This record gives sequence, structure tokens and C-alpha cells, in this order.
Amino acid sequence: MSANPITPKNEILIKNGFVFDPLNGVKGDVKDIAVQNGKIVEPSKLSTKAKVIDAKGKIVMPGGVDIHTHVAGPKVNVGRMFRPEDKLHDTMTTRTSLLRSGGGFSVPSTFETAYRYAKLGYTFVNEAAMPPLLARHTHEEIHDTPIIDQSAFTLLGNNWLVMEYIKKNQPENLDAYVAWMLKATKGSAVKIVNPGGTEAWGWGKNCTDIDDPVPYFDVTPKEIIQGLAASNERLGLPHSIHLHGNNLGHPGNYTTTLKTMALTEGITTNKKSGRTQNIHFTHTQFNSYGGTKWGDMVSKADAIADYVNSHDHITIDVGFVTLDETTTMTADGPFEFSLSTTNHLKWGNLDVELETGSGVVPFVYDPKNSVFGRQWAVGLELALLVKDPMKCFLTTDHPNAGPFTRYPVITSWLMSKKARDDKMATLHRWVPEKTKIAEISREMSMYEIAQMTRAGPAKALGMSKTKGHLGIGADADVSIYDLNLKTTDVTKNPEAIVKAFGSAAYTIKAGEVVVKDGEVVAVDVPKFTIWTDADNFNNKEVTNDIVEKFLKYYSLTLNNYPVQENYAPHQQVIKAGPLAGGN
Amino acid sequence: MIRTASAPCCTLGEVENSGADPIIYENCSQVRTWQSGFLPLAMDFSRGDARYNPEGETAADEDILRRQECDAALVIASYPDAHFPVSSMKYYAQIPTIRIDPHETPTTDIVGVEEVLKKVKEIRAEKNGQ
Repeated sequence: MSANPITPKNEILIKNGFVFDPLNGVKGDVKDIAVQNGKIVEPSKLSTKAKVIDAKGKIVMPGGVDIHTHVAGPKVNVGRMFRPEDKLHDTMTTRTSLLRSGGGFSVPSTFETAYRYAKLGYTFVNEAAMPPLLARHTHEEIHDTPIIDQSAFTLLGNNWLVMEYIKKNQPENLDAYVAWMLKATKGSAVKIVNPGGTEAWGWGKNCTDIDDPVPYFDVTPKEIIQGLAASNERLGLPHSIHLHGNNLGHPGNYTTTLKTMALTEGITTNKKSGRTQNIHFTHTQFNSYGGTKWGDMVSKADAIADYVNSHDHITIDVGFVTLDETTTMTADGPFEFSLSTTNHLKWGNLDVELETGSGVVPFVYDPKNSVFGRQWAVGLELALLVKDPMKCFLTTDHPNAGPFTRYPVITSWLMSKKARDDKMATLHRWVPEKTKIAEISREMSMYEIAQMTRAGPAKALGMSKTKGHLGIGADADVSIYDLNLKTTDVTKNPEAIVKAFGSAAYTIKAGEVVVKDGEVVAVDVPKFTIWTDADNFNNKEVTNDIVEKFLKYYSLTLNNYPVQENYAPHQQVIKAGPLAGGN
Repeated sequence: MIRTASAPCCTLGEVENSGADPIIYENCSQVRTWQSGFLPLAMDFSRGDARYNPEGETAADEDILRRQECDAALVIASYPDAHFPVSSMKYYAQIPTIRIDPHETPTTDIVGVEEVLKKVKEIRAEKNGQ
């Protein structure tokens, strides 16, 4: 992949589209959007040579922002490697003079991942779990993913030094270490996966509640979450902590979820980057179950949605179950083990030295099975019961609950009760009995969809200056869908949503047209790796601790650890912490 | 597009037995996995997309050498001339071939590029402090 620098030649005028731009309050008004040098500008600034796109009768939105997806890194590659059955011939594409061959249904090759995201109108996706020790591999895959901008979240919730600093109550050292780790791995945010639990998995144990102590380290998940959240806010990182909670995927876990969400209520949010939350609870669908076992599992999405509705310090993304055969992959090692004991398929497991672990298991969400049907309903309930779509984002935790290529059909379920009812009629009879999805009549508007997929995630990531909107100065990432809401009643005709959102009429990335009529037409466009630099502490004690850990325990030397500059040749660095002038 | 010429005759076990560095093998298998979607064993790109183990024991021999589809061969720690039929090796002997291997094998006689071999030997000697 090579990315051209942004050239002044790219001038585009998108005329007469119905524009949905929630961050600027534009609700489907007919407007012209002008693009110059990779940025959105006033239409009057354009020269007469600008390429004109007639968007009359079409939807114009900012490029999609995926806040949580697994598209690059070692465990993603394990998913590719050990599942040749995921690559049936209809999921594979042939090379052309422009495009690389590749494919796979749930875990596509990197190039194919980029093409598919671009076809959906997505231009910025966040790899949600980067093991620090394997950060280079993650960046290599990002480098081989053209078109879309990417960032990666650094896994810190089971890190030995993090736990030691929290136990010893040394917040200054924790700040310096977190900042060093983000820089060393070129990560953008603090990711926490099953805090303490993955480390406990090294002893064959787990932390299923926020007060379960981590073996040997003697800290609790509660202390890890609060410690890292406070550090995150002191550093003023663009995104809040990004949390995959304890006890994921088990019936009755909603009580743990509610306790976890309350942990950061007392922590002051650093609003410098424009976000308003201090915790992002990811793929919450998997953490919203009542009951005691799968037989009596019921949806508790209403309790979770009530909490989110009544608190401002939290955002969530859903993790919709799409009822497909897919591949689960997470740094939550103990969860993947318990999952593999339920379906007895393949199981991949890895311990990442002092840092984290991971597991990979293929999974078939059989639509006829009552449990998976209920999981499908929980996701939709959650999205429909959270009143403000700026707090609840559209994800499938790709590929864990389903591949991202299902976003268009999820959009149709959210916008049309008919689409939900039609789908439910094909599912197990317990789905309407044990969940409340049949009673929910809400049908989301296109503006709300734009909030869930563009404005909301961009704001929560602290990227709302440049991403997720079409105001002057924003990055010229635009998607155009051929769907006329004035002449088509999408609530009665949900297939129109699937068709239009499944293949964008145009996707524009950094001012260049990359997709036209659902086909990728350009790949050599500016693409950036975005990461956060808050490292200016020069804390001798922390440096000594890091050196000691490498001498004593790591399997490589410190010199070979940090990700070098040439791993991210096209990078955008967000300054935070002392580098951004402190708080 | 790189054709997978070494696929069927290069298993992890063979690489280890040959004395080559398994880390190098591991890295190139990772790259080819994220690029094609498959673990790079017994793969075929000849139809324009990546196919896994398409006809059983194939790829380098049947698909590529005998049908004369490749323009050159890169042999990493492997000895195709000891295993492939003469019909394939006739074409193999005609095309430019680069071999990377720390040991001398019968293939050395067919291949013109001995410099690589020597270089690898030198590096190994340096590494071992000889």
C-alpha cells in the first residue's frame, strides 16, 4: 500500500443531496458540500474545474466511523489462518488491474476488509484490541489495509506494571507508564478487556465480578478500571477508557455491568477533546443478560438502557448479533475457553507475556436456536431503548457478533418495525416471549442513524474536530447513498435500506472518490494511522521499572519493543497530556 | 501477483529440519495470511483468486511448473528436484531460480545463484562467532 499525499487537484462539489450531519445540526436539508485539498470548504472557494457530483434525491453523510472492530493484528490473523471454511468461493474476489484478490466471510483479508468498508461508506475504523507486544504486527496489517483511516487501542487492563502501580497507589507513575505504552505501541486509546480476568486466566482462573482479586497481584477489576479511568482523564486522552467488562456473555451478568458502569461516576471527565463520557462500555449486548443459565436467560437491556439514559459519563456500543456463522476473537481468554466448551469447535488460545492474552473460536449463531434469537433481540432492544443515539453506537464487535458487512441490514432493523417483525417470524418462538423486542415500536430516523454511525462515535473518540461531520475544515470523508427518503417509505420497504447502504453510490476519502456505484474505483488515496502521544514525563522510576521488567521477564529486549516510525509511514499524531499543555 | 511455488514442498517441519530460521518462516506465513486470507500451504492463485489446497497435492509441481505458468522460482530451504517428476524439472531447469538455503544440495547444481548460499553461510558463521 502506498498513500499519495493530498494533492490540490481534488476539488469536488456534491450538489443538491439530502445532507445528514448531526454534529452541525443538519437534518436532511438540501445542501451543497464542497471538497478541496482533502478538506470540506465553503462551496464558493472552489475553482470552476471542480468535479460535480449530482446527489439530487440521494443521502449525503460524513464517512462512517466504526468505534470498535477487529480487523488487524495477530488474533485476527489466527482467525483467518485456522478457518479455511470461512472462505467459501462466493466470499472470495478475483484480482483486477486495480484490486487485490482475497476474501473470507467473517475475517476477510486486509485488502478485502478495506474494500468492503469503503463500499459501505465507512472511512475510519478502530482496531479495538492491540496487544502491546504484538503492536508491530497490528501496524503491519494496518499498513496493508488501504483507503480507510485506522487507529488501534492498546490493551492495558491486564498489564503487570499497570496493576502494580495501581496496587501501590502511584498515580504519577501510572500516568507516565500509560503514556509511554501508547507511544511505544502507537496506540490511540486505553483498552481494557476483562480487567484482571485475562491475567487470572494464566492461573486457570477468571475475575467474574468487579471485586474478585487478581491472583498474585491482589488488585481487583474495580481498582483497575477506576485507576485507568482516572489516569485517562488526567492525561486528557482523546478517547475515554474503552472497556470490555467482566463476566461477558454469561446469563445474569447485567448486575456486574451496572456495577461496572457506576465505577467512574465520581471521576471528572476531561472534556478537552470534545467528548463528554469518561467510560465507553463496548459491545454491551453481551453484558445485558438476566436469568441464571441459558435456559432461563432473559433480556435486561431495559435496565442497562435506563442507566445509560440517566447518566452522562457513559457511552456504549451495541455489538448486534446478526445470526451468522462467524469467528469470535477477543483478549478475554477465559471467555473464549468457556465458549469453546459450548460448541466444541476449534479453539485458539494465547498468553501474551506480561500484558494480556487472547482466544479465537469459530461460532455459529444458528437463527433457529432460542438463545441466539434472544441475543439478537437484546442488541436491538438496547439500541432502541437508549433515547440518545449520541450515546449508543452501531457495531457488531466485528467479527464476534457478526461481520461488519451486516451493518446495512442492522440499519433496516433499526429503522423499520416491519423488518424486525419479519426477521422475528423466522426465529424461535421464545424470542418474542422472553424479550421485549415485539413491544418496542420505535423506528429510528436517518438523522439518528447518522448519529449512531458518524457523529456519536467520532465525538466519543474525541475526533469530532476532523471526523464524523461535514462542517468547514472537517476531513473530506463523505458517503452518498442512493435512497430518496421523500419518495420511499423505508419503514414499509426496508429492503431499500439494505440495498442503498450495502453499496454506496459514492464514497469519498480525503477528497478522492474511492467508491462509485458500489464498486471500488481507487485505492491509492491518502490513508492515515492515528495515534495518541502524551509521553513527556521522563519519569526515571518508571523507566527503571520498564527496564527491569524487560531484563527479568520479557522474551525480547527493550530496544526491539517500540514500534518504529516506518511502521506507520502515514501517521496523524494527536497530542495529549503534557504535550498538549496539560489539563 | 506472486505464485505460490514453494507451497507443497515446504512444511514447518521441513524448514526446521533444514536448519533455516523458523521465525522467518513464521513471519512470511503471517503476511501471506493477512493478504490472501489463508495459511500459505498448498495455495493456488492461478485463477485470479486465492484457493486453498485446490486439488490435493498440487501447486508448485502440477499447476505451476508443468503448465509452465511461472517465470522464475524462489526455493527456500527445499529440494524440489528430489521430489518432483522429470516433466516438471525440465522447465524448472530453464527458468531463473534463486535458492536460499544454508546447505549444499543437489539443487545447487541446477541453480546458478550460489552467491546467496555463500552469503547465508557467512552470516551464520558470524552469528555463531566462528
